[in-house]
Amino acid sequence: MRKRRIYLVSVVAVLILIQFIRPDKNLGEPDPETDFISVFLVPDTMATAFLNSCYDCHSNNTNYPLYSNLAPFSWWLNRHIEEGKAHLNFSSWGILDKAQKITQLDQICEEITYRTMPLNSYLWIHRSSKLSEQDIQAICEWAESESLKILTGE
Amino acid sequence: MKNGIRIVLTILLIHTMMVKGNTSPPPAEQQADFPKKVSVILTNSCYDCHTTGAKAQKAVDALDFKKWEEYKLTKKITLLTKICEVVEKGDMPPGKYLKQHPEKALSASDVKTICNWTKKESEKLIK
Repeated sequence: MRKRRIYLVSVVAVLILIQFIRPDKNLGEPDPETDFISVFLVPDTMATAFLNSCYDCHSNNTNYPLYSNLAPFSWWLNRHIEEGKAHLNFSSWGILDKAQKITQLDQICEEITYRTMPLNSYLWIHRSSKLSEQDIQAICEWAESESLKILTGE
Repeated sequence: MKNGIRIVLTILLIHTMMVKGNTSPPPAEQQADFPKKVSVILTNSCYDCHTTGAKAQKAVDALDFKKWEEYKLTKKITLLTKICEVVEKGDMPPGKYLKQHPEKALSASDVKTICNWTKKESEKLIK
């Protein structure tokens, strides 16, 4: 009985202690000069889709869910955001060169078409972030045309 | 008379053979015109999986050097960027493959050659 109590107390103690390890929150100042949506003047419906389905992990501003304050969820979330931003950060779109922009536009369409993005684990919690077939088609067509504009220097 | 026919037939036969020998072979699938140095590296380390007919369908779908000229300009730029990225990171050639074919590994200078080429090439395409 006593053993069990010691065990329980130590588990609770560890859970409390890990709460002190808090990753920095991803809450930067939005910069319209470099932000993807403002740079491209992305049409409203599409902009909503990007904000709602991609920006949490692919920008400098995450809309944090409640549980995000709780370790170890906060760590797990933080890792996803860091990885996401390393691949593509919509907040700093403006600093990419032309080839990188064309590449990213192509990859955006590919990722959402094969539904490798948004991540399943993300959709599990953010059910409304699932992209519809129409969203995907619209984004891909738009991305292709923007990409051609970059290519021809329009 | 009979001899004459024989001679004519022989001449015809030789002629056919020569004509056949002269016809150019069927046009090879359009091969991209990469610089020699790059081509050597790609042939050694990438073509095994990234050309039409390779076993790994996923690899061919992702990038098929034999169909290079068929890709749209924007796709070419994307692929060029990705090529440099994956070789720089060491994601390609895959470790599993290198275990069986250690001679296919890219040296640091190979990676440099590839990335210099991909950057130049995509700049050319954009201008």
